[in-house]
Amino acid sequence: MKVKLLATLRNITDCNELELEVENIQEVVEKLIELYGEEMKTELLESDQLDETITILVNGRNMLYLNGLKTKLKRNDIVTIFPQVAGG
Amino acid sequence: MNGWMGQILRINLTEETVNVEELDQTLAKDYIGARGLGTKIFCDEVEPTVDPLAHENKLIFATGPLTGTAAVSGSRYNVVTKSPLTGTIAASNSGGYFPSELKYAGYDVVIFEGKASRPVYIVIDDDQVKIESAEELWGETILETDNQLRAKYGDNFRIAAIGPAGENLVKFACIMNDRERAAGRSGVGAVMGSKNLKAVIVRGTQGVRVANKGKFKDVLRNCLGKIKESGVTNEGLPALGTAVLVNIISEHGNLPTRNFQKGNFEGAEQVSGEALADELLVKNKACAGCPIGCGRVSLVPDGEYKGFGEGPEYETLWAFGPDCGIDNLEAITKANFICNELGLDTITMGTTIACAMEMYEEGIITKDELGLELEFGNAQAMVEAVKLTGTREGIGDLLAEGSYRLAEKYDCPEYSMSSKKQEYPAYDPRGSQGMGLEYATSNRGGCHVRGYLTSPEILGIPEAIDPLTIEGKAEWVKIFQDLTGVVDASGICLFTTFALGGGDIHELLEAVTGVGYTEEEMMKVGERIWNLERLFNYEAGVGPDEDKLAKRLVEEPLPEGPAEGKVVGLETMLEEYYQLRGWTPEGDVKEEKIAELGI
Amino acid sequence: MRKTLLINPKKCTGCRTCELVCSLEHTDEFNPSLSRVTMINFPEEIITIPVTCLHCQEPSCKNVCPTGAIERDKETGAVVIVDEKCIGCNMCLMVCHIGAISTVEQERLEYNVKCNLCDGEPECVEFCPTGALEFGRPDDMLLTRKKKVANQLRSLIEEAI
Repeated sequence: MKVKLLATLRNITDCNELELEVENIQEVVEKLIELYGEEMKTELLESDQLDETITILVNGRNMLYLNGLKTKLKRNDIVTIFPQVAGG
Repeated sequence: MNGWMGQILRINLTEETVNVEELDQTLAKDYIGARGLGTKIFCDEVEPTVDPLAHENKLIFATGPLTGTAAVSGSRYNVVTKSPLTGTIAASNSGGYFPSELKYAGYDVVIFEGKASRPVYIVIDDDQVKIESAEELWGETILETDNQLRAKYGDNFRIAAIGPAGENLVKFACIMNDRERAAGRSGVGAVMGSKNLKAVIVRGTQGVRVANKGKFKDVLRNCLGKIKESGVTNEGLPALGTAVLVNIISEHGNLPTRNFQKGNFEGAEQVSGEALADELLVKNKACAGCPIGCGRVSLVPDGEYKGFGEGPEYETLWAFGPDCGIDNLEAITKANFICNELGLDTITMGTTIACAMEMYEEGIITKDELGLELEFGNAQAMVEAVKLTGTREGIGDLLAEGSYRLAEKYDCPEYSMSSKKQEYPAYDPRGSQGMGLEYATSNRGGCHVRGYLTSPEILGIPEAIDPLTIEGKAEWVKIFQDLTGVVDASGICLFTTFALGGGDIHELLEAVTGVGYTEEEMMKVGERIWNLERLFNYEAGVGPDEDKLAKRLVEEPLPEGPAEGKVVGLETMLEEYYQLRGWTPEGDVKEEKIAELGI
Repeated sequence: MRKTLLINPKKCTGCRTCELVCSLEHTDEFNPSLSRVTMINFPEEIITIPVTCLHCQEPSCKNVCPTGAIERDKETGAVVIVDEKCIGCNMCLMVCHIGAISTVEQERLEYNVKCNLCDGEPECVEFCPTGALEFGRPDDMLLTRKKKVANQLRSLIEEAI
């Protein structure tokens, strides 16, 4: 599935999106930390839990209204991850 | 007084007289300032049925008690008048340096009444106020007006002015201050133009007093700490500006595309905050007292869209970009610069062009009538349309009336994406239901800065709520609308609320004014402002029947994305909302409510 | 080593917080016209830079003062006006190259006023949101700058190799 990174997360990855093959959101988070190390971990986790300020969408829908970190992913799904931002 | 300067400056342009009046302290406490106090004074003095462009309409510049202080982003003023676009009350908010300078000159509020017999500008130099001829400035752009006035009076003066759009009574002309900050919406610049008032320049050497200096510094440190801790105000907004939202709203399927025909734009990435930061951003720019600095300074170094200036913000990027089907960042930025020079509201400008584009593609309006190949995605035609509108040349004369009047003229008002004749900003409410209720009930028509439900629905601030449901949204909208009233009345920027809550704002207000508000009383001010605005609109002939949305949003489901198949469930939310507001089931303000709020 | 005030023009966003907190500290009100630091604005280029007293090693204001009212504070190194000795003759204002001394019109205890580094804890520095104003040991602050340049050099070299 395609994983899109937005806003200041791109400072860590130097890319806008990547392809991953994983089962669920939890594994996306783990994979990203494995790939990008400590900096990504600090950004995504808060005392080993997913930081509440991180938003993860599956096909545009916030995972909070799906099955959270356990949300299963299919091959063509698009996962979008971004830190807390605002504008207006 | 602490916080308030205690004086109102009244300038009658017909008689060319200037008077200073004392500010009523009870009134100040009950309405705080800016949007609150300005609206109260306006409603007391002006008949709701007045023609917005007639000399009987008044134009009020109102600051708040926190304007001109170091209270986070205490830089704002509101321009209050009756809007020529909506026929409702207009309160248009702007920051920069000009608003604070009004306070330093000694005034909380400036009231302009009547109409000058010739173009004039006003010089406010502390207690010396003069009305000068603006014959030579008439027709000049905002930047040229600013250049000439600064050359004559010096850099210590802060300037607010209208451009050709305001002079030509474009219904969504804005008043620009400090060159590139805008009291943007609802056509307040046209009212200024109708009064033959080209500019107001001000210099002040007086101080804003503070009730409790020690407490103020403690509260300020606490607030700054929260702003630093928040990823929004410390990282996202400084790094990427408001444009950070382009990608995020598009991913949610919420980014109105091609006049709200769909909710995600294939070219979002090209017009995103990330792209802007990579390609055109020169630096960040802050208003007075602001630790966030969301303002962008951009440069298009060469080519047909060459230019340099402030912007573009998220709303502007969207209005000239996705809503017009355009993914050319340089063209969008250029359209923004032209709006700044001519004095046009970028949201209504972009969305009016988008409306014309759809009408053109549907064959309702022809190329001969337009004089432009105004199809979606045509960046050159879009930029040309902006230029024509400011001067009302060719098709610009019709675009200058806004999308509602444009579509109505061709018997298809449903193509105008507006409520109360003011165009929506950059969030499709079919994918953000609470925002739909906010658009429908906003006292100045389509608007995102009266109750920004995008914040909890999409951004998860202060907590995440499901954007696709309607349950509980009425209560959120009411609380957000009332709190926004308080923020606007205080003279600080709405963006502080991404990090601060009502309690923090209460502490800032108390430390500066020391008048002894409780937090509950403060929130009551927000409710008072809201009801007063609504009563004015009712008397002006814009009643509860107008609490509605464009047909598309309640009848045409979004074709794709996470909100696929959704329309706005307005009726149910509206019923609950009226009840929570303590109004009749028909949406009328009850006598008891008026008495309870002491309006 | 004595701490010093450094201005980083590139970091200034023009928010004028320095003027606001300075005037609050020294005059108990928000009044940029009485601030000891001034944000200078170049509107056409959209550039803003805070300007304040640089506490010169050879202060012309101190040299010209007819009553010896201007001294260097031993603790902070700040060039300060001793209000009791100041007669408000404006001589200091006339000779200051930076324009950092002003004159107070209102009825107050002081006549001529200037930055005194807030007795070693400058408010403008504490509240500057971007670090456009810094106060510290020059060797520390300059080391940070040097490191930045060194980093750029390093990556250039790495790219080349």
